[in-house]
Amino acid sequence: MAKDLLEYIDFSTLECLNEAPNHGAELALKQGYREQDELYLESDTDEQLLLNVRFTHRVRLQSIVIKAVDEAKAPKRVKLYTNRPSLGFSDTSSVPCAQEFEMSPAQLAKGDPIPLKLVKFNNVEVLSIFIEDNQGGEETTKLCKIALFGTTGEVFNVAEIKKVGEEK
Amino acid sequence: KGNVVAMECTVVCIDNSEFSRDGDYAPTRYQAQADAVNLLAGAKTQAHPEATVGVLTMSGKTPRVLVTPTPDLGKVLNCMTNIEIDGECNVSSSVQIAQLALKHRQNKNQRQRIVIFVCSPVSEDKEKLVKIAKKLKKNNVAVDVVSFGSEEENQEKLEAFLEAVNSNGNSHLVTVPPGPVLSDVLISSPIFQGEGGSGFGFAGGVGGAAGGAGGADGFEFGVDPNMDPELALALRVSLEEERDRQNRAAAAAAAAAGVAQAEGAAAGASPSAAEGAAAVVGTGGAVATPGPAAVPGVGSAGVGGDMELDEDALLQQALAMSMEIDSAAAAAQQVAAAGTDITTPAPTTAPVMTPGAPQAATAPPPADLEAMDEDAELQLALQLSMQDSGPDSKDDQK
Repeated sequence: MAKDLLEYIDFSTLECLNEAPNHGAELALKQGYREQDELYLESDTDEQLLLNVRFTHRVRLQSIVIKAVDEAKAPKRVKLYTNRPSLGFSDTSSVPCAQEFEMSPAQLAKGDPIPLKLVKFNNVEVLSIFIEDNQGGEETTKLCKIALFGTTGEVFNVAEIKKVGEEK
Repeated sequence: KGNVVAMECTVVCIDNSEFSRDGDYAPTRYQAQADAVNLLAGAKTQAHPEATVGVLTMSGKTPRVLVTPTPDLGKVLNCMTNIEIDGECNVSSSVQIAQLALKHRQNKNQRQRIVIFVCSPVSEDKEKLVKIAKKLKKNNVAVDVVSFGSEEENQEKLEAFLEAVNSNGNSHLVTVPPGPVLSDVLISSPIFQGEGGSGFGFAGGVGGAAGGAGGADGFEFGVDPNMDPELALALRVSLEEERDRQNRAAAAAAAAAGVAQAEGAAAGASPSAAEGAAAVVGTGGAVATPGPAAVPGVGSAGVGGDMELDEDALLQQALAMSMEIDSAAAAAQQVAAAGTDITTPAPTTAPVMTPGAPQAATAPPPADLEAMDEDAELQLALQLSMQDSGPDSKDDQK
């Protein structure tokens, strides 16, 4: 069963390129902050954002949630890359992405999970989220929540195993 | 968790244009710059064991990477002895190349920083500089600019540049008028003090939070209590502890200094005093300077070098500090070895260059770098630097 991978995100190495001061990635990712729409991640010099999220365990990603309340500044084209530590903006055009999609205003407003191609996100240590542009062609992009769902097969947790057995 | 001392990869851009021959900053703009760079490299590599420093020259036929970011202070000091004064700076290309060098840093966890020395009129216009700055900011690169020699002419452009690149106080512009020793001014500036909290203490730990008092605000507020209250609290606590330790250590060091000075003469870590305090600070200071707070009784015990210190006091300061640190002994030897090379050019304004260094003779013509593929640019720059270091002419000085 897919669970929220929040606890596996390594915040000490979290990097977000082009984030505005005081509107950093933590506000979209961290417990407590991501639930509040007033605490948002916003881009700085232009409308693009590039997050490099490292996990503490290898994970299998199943879906991603991106929520934004400012419609015009909400993300549009999103590209995901796996296991490319410290991806930079210039790399996004040369490195093949694992999956890309365009978000719809409905998905953004409700925070609908976007399903991911499981095969491509099977063994992820670093996930790069490249937000290429926004809905309204605005100068900056804003979003208030990013959540990642999946499983961590590597973790040997006896309690977990029991649960799965029970579900079956 | 979280690093109190930010681990950085720094690329230093040197102005080796014809303007740097000017003697309005003693002994020449170029030499004053070289001393400062040596000090800065020492400070950065001391601040964190994994910090790396690279150097590139901005003038000449094309900007050249002299040394790609390395934790090896010796390599940095060595490459400083091989620089030719020539032509005019190309700030735009230099910054692009520096950015590439940073991008290709081995340790991706390192933060990225460019330090630019400017002592000649900047030819790029303000708009172009701002555009460059924004690209740097977008890619999380911090920039420190040292403006001297052409300060008035460049002031407006550099201020605009700084404003565009600065993110939460991570970048600085230090303007140095002629008069005081360039290195002195820089040592007490944010460029040496580092981004908040960390400062550049030295290995002995005595000056551990030298930048703590001066730079504390930057880092503490950089880790906004909104975003990470536990980390902010931890930082505050550790800063307080560090200040206490520093105060206690300063008292202890005062006693030790009396002994250190007597031994200083035989240290060999610096050339004869006749070379001048600037040169001495450049060598002996390269291992020890940042963290003047630890200096016993010379000037104030507070953070930042006291610009009124005379040459003798500086000499004693550098010697005392270099004696106090065991682990700096190895670096001191490297510095002494390179020291003779560094300080020899002091009395002369002739080109400070190694004979036979293959200039851009074999390089392709410097096409418009913006049109070039990014990686091809870096290849070019690296190639040129490889050509020089290949024949190993560095040790063969003048």
